[in-house]
Order: sequence, then C-alpha cells, then structure tokens
Amino acid sequence: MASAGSGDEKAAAAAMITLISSDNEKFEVTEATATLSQTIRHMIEDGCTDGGVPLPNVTSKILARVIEYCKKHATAAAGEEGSSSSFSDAAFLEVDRAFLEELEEFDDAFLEVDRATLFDLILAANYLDIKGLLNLTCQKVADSVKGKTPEQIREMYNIVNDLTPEEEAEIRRETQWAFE
Amino acid sequence: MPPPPPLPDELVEEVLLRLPPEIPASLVHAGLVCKRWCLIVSDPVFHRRFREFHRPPPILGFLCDGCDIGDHQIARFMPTSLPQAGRRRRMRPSDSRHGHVLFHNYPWASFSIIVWDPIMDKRLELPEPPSLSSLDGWTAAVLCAATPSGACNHLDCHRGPFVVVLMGSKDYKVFCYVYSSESGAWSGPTTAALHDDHVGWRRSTLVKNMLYFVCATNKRTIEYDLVTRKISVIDLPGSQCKNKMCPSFIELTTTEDGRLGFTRLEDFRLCLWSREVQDARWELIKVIGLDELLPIDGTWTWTRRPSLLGSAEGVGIVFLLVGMGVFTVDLRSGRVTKVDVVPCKGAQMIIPYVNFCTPGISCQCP
Repeated sequence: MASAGSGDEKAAAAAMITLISSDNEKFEVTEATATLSQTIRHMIEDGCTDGGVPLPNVTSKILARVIEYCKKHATAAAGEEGSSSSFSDAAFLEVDRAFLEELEEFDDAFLEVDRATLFDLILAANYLDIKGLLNLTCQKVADSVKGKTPEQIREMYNIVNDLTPEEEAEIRRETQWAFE
Repeated sequence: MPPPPPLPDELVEEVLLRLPPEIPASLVHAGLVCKRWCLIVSDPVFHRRFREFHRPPPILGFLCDGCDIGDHQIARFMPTSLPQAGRRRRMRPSDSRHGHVLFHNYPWASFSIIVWDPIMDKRLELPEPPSLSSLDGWTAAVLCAATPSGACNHLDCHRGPFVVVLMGSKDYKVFCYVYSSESGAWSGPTTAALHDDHVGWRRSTLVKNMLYFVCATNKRTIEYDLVTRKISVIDLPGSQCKNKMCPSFIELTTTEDGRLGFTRLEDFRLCLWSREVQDARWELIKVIGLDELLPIDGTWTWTRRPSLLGSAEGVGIVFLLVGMGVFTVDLRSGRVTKVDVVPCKGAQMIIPYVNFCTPGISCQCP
C-alpha cells in the first residue's frame, strides 16, 4: 500500500518519519505532521525513530484517519513552533478566516463516523497525545449525550445501569430540578 | 453494528468535561447513567476541572426589575437552567456578581437588603444600613470579598465571603457604605461632592479594583476604589443625538482590553465609548447600526423603540428591550441574539446571573 505522505511534493525536502500500525502497516509522514502528536514529538527528540515508530495500540484503519487529521492541522500549526492544534489557541487567530472555515468543514466531515470508530479515535488521540483531536472527538461524544435522558445515554453507548433503585431514587430526589 | 466497548474512566471524564455548563441538568443526567459516571460527576476535582475548562462562567438566568399584574414591584428570576425560579413581590434586584444576587424590599416600610445564592438557595438578610431613608438616590453592588486582593478567580466563590457596596446621594454629596459578611457589619461612610446630580438606580460595573455607578442624569459616573475607598466623579461625553425618541440611558461596560466603557443609543445606533488609560479621555470606539439587526422594519415608534436594559459584565454583551422582546448585542462581533425570556411589565433593568452550577450529587457508590 502507498504510504500516506509520499505523494506530497513539498515533503521531499522535509524530514520523514515512518509510523507502523498494530497490523504492521507502514505510513510515511512529514515530521511536521507527526509532531502534532506529543508522544511522537518526544520520541523524535529522544532520537528513537530510526527504523520507524511502532504504534501497537493503533490499527491501520484508525492510524490512516489520524494522519489525515494531522496533515490538515499541521498546515495550520506551521510556523507556530510548540503550539498545539486546539481551536482556542491564540496561534489560530492569526490564520486567515477562510482557512479556519475550511478547517471547521474538514473537522465536521472528519467526525462523520460510526460510534466504534469515534471511540477508537478518542483512544488513539489520547495514546498519541494529540490535544486537538482529543478535544474534537470528546466534544462530539459530549454533544451526543447533551439533552439526553440517562436511559437514552445508556442505550446509545450500551452501558449497563448498575446503580441500585435506592441509589437512583436518592440522586433523583436531591436533583429533582434537573428533571422538570 | 455492535456498540463500542466502554471508554476508560479518564476518557469518560474527558467527555463529561465537555458537557455544556449553561445546561447544568446535563451533568445530573450523566450521573444517573451508571456508577462509574456518577462517581466522576460527583468528584470535587472534576467540578474544579469543569469550571477551569469552561471559564468564564455561563449566564444561567436573568433577574428582571419591573412590575407584576397588580402593579406591585417585583423581582423576577428567570432561570434558563437553574432550580430556583420565581417572583419576589415587593422586591427589587440591584446587582448580581460572583454568584450572589442582591435584592432589597420595596417600598421601604422596613428597609432590608437581602443577599441570595440561587445555587444553594440561601438567603441572608443584612442588618439595616445607616440612614438611607433621606437619600435622594442610591444603588448597591455585591462582590466577592477577595476582589481587592486579586486572590480569587471567581469561579466558585458563591459560598464564600462577600461585600456589599452601597452608594447613595443627598445634598450634592455621595455617600458610600460597605457591608462585610465577615464582620457582619456596615462601615463608612466615605463621601465626596456631587453637584447637580444624584446616584441612579442602575447596576454598577466592576473594572479591576474599581466599581463604577451611573448618575441619574446619565452625564457622569462615580468611581469607587475598593482598595483605597476613594470616591471620584467622572464626567461622560454628551450625546449629539437630537432624536427625542432616542433614550439617553447609558450602560457601563468593559472593553476587550479590560478598560471602562459605556454604551448609549445615539440616533438608534449603539455607540460604544471607552476611557483611555493614559489621559482619561473618552473615545468613541465602535458604532453598531441596529436597523438591520432588530425586528423593527426600519421604523422607530414609541412602543417599538429599543432601550438599554443591562449588560453582562466583562464579556462585552448588552441587553436591549424592543417591544416585549429581549435581545443581546455582542459588542465585539455586533451579533444580535433573541433571549428566550419574557421580561416583566415595565422592565427597567435586566441583570444576568452568571455562575457555574456543578450539582452536588452525593454518590454513595462503592
């Protein structure tokens, strides 16, 4: 399979890093893309990326998505050494509005995934320490929970209610206002 | 498709951290999902993270100063998402800040000032302030006691000590009394000269260590220094507006860089003025045309003319009343939004209640 970053002409001059998924697929990306992950950034700083970076917790399917996110957001973070890709960062205020809108559209489309993939992306964003991606994916889940009843939330995320009827009644009694 | 396996606790916390602070019920609902979620949302450390993550605090409701059907003065609390709603007859709200709400009874048969915490629903009636009955104008402000020291971030101080600053005027003088919840007593007065004016029944604005009060003529503001307790009177630039239908009220605000500012309707455009730090000069920094932003069909009538009702301190938002509709105007973006509240009859003032409500669920789960 073609490596994810090899088609990028600009990448030719940039330092390249090889990422290896849990199912042993190799992805070649620029250092700028890879270092959106603080975990990989530290590995590069420590000089442990020769021969590729094994990521045993991330499948090739999820890693491809994560790289897609990082490539898009690395452009925005370019020139802002040390900044993360969070939307609230001051660095973003300098970026022109049109690009910001394009980035938002990208993020919206990026999040059009099933719940299992969304959870896998959260786990990968946490493991790779990509703050912007963790924020984006966790916010998506929070938005889906917002305004739902406890029963609806349990059903959506297959959560078993292990509160005893007494515990549940007690919580409902002291927070009755939240159900009016 | 099979549902995904559950996320580890630390990531469930990351998700719940992003629930909307303006809808406190969503945290309660999350706490009823299962024991794990309940333990997360009832943890004080999570509450602290939640407040830090979402700062500044959201608007959880509005206090309206106006009349009810029987023409009694009422203070109406219109929560957008809080437990305690309701009307308080013969009461008027004068301020809300740092999670506290300040009321006084009306008319003043027996004068009392009440400080209310809507989150805990706790009321404290203050001892009667010294000789108020003969004043020709007054208003009062409430704030966290740690404001002058700068030791509080005001994210969770609604249970803590507070001060009430009462500013009144009589015979060309202003008087300031200060109540401290820690000492349980009033101190003062501090006085200063005030010619041809008196203290207006408007809400104050806090800018760093200074409280600002509007005078009844809308021509000057009274500055009270919380540290030195010094009072200064500051003249405001006059309006050039000749339209008699255009109200001359001003609303004190803070500018984006934290300076004192005020807004005024001039020819039905919302004009934002700010005070230069270096030479204390007033400068017109922004004009927002309202014709296209409000539902007025380009015609101004006595019943449909907009009036300034209040502002959200520190976030650059003012409230306008048009007919019976309340609108917010964001002074930075110029964006106008209709607020989903119905003000009381003859609404004179709207005070937003700004705070976090992180519900105290006592989760006893093992």
